[in-house]
Amino acid sequence: MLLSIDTSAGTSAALFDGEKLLSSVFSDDPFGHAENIAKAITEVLSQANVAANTLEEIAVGIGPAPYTGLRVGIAAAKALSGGLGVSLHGVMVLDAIAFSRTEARLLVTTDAKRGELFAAGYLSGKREFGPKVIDPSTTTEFVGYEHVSESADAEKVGRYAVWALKNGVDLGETRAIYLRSPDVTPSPGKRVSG
Amino acid sequence: MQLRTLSIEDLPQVMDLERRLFQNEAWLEQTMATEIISGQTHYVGVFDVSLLGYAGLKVSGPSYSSDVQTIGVEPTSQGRGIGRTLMIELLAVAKRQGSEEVFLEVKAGNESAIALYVSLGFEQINVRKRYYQPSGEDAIVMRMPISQPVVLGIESTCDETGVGIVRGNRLLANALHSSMDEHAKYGGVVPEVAARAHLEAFTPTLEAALAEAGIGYQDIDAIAVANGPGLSGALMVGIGAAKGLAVALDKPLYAVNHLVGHVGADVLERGAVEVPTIALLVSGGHTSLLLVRDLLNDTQLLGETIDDAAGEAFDKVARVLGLPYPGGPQIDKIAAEGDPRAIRFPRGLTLPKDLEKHKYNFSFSGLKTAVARHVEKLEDAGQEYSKPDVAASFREAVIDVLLTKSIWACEEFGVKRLLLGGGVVANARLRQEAERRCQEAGIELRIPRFSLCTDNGAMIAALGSQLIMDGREPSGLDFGAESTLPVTTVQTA
Amino acid sequence: MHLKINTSEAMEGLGSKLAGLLKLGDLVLLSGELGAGKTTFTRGLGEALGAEGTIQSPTFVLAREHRIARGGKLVHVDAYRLASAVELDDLDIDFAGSIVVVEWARDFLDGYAENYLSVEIDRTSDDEVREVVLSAAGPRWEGVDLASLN
Repeated sequence: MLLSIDTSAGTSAALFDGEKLLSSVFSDDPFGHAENIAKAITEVLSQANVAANTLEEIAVGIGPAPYTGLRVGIAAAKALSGGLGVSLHGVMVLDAIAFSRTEARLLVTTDAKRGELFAAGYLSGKREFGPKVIDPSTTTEFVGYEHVSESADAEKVGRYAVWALKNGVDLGETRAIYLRSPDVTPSPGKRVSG
Repeated sequence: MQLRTLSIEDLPQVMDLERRLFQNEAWLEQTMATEIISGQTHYVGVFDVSLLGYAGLKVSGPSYSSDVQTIGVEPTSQGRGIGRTLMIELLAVAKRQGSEEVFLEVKAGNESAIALYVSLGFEQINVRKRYYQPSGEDAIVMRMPISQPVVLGIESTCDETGVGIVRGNRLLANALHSSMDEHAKYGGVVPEVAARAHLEAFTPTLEAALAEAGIGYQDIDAIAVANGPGLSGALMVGIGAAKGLAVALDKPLYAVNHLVGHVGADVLERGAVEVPTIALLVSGGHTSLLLVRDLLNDTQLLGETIDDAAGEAFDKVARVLGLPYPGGPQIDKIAAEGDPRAIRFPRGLTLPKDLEKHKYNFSFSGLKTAVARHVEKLEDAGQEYSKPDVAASFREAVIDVLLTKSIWACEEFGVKRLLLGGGVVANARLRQEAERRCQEAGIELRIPRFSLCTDNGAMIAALGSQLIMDGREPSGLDFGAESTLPVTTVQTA
Repeated sequence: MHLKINTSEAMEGLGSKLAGLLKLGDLVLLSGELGAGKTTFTRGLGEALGAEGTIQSPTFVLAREHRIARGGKLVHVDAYRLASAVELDDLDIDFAGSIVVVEWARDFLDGYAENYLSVEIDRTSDDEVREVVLSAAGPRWEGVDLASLN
């Protein structure tokens, strides 16, 4: 029994029994992650009539994604897995999106704010490059790639996690992927007199 | 029949019943009067027009225990469950006050009373021979344990990740991780840096707290989290974690006010919340003056900063003087050599024209500007000047305003107690001046230990615990981060 | 539009008057030196908008959010510690649902948004008196008469 959580765009949770999707809850509100996260988890469990303490694995989208919302899902997943004493698996969300597609050569991008995109490239299901930050104007440089621009969600994250765990892919990294540093300039101090 | 707290007006009726019940062992009127009006005791009575029974409990905060002082029921009304009603009320009070055990003495021959106590959960632990005089009857000492909730509290409002654990009013753990070092190069708190640090620090800090308390996840009865006021991104990490934990453990979650938490921190030092009190909370992010009549039900914001927080003013002036972040300790260090009276810097919002709208508000922007102008003028003119004097005079101006307004509040509201909280409490000069002024004004000064004054998780757990002991319903799971949560909202539904 | 503001109460009053012209989605850029009166101005603005919580300097926290009477928020930003406009993005502000006031707005914010209102506050030789220059950019402000702020 695997519970997947994702707050890379909206807030969502999904429950898997092996490869079978038991239930899925999704809210596309891009601002209400802290408000929606608990409801997403409790509802996905109650819809499938599953108790939290029967969960065996937790998977969470670790980005790259807008930071504030991203952290809510990871924080909840960490606490949930710690409290239940079960493993936590981190899924790079572009991998999850790619996994849900069938195109042979794929450029997956998501909104990185600041007028930029998070991007990763895939060939026959395997990641060739990324995740990295790119300027939207450069997407045309990726010749031969089908450009897919869609959001991740818990269902995609969960499906990918189930497959990855079965096929020995390492999902041990659970730290958030930011790809950018906070970049606030140390300030020199303000003068008063003109 | 009506159960209510006794007041001194009830003394004649109580004494009448006391003498009829206990005859030559009855308490003196003076003793009963002292008991009823004492702040450490709770005396209750059952009335049906006239007094049918009374009982008293003495609570000892620091020892987490209570003693039943006396209990008596009108002879013609015995057998009606009045004794049980009185005892149940005393036990509820003991529980609410954080007692972990309740003691009482009963005459060895008083079978019906002993049966009542046993049915409530008391056990005999001792016999005191010939305790009652002049009859010489033995006393049976009985004890009842009260289980208090184990509450885990999460704090992530600014740049410190705190996880604390309490049991009732007793501190079990206070684990903290600060991202102050990461912030030093930015010269101040950066919300994104703080939030990233919270996410990384949460699990290790939580595990440290559990280890310190010597408990496991299964021992937690409830979770409390500060959902405001503070930096939204930072708050959201704590809130996400708290919700995940609450769902994992299937335990109730309380969303509480961080500033009220600061006031409640004192309960972990004394075993009780002492109200009414004026509370001055001073940190990098907050400068607030509160009137607290009842921690959970009656907390009022008298005033706060209308521009910079006091801690922020220290940071900015430190920068003007070429000192690193954080400014407080740096200013303190060089101010030690300086003369606080060298320069008279402005005390913001203390002029007569300010008192109408801003009597209890603070403003440090004008002070900061005055210091900066003073220094710039001297530096531009190439003049030598004493940094220690500037630092000492600046610090004096801040402390003067903080304490003057606090004491005004004590005087205006007739409250003889002042509580200090927040990181700026580390400032020794503030503590020294506070002691001096409070002593002069006849005001009791309370400063909890430093680890409970700075942002911490234990105070959040303690506030959650107070709410639970008061019988409050937990918060729902829909609350979010409230960066400007008002102090009148102690718990978010 | 040029104004002379003689007291800090008048600066608050100017902020309050401006509130009447603002809609959710608006951006106000405040510039002026330390102590010029930017936060004072914002306080008046916040009061007229019925903002929850006290208007305080956002230097420490970079941005403070206040719910306002009409629904939506007043977001009070201190841009001094931001090196570029992209960092403003990082603050995760719901621009469409808020009135955003940025203190220490500087050159880099020109061109950041198509529509904005600029309030420059300058000190004069007189300690209390300020000179305020108001200007607006973008189609949002076409036809809006700033003279009503006098």
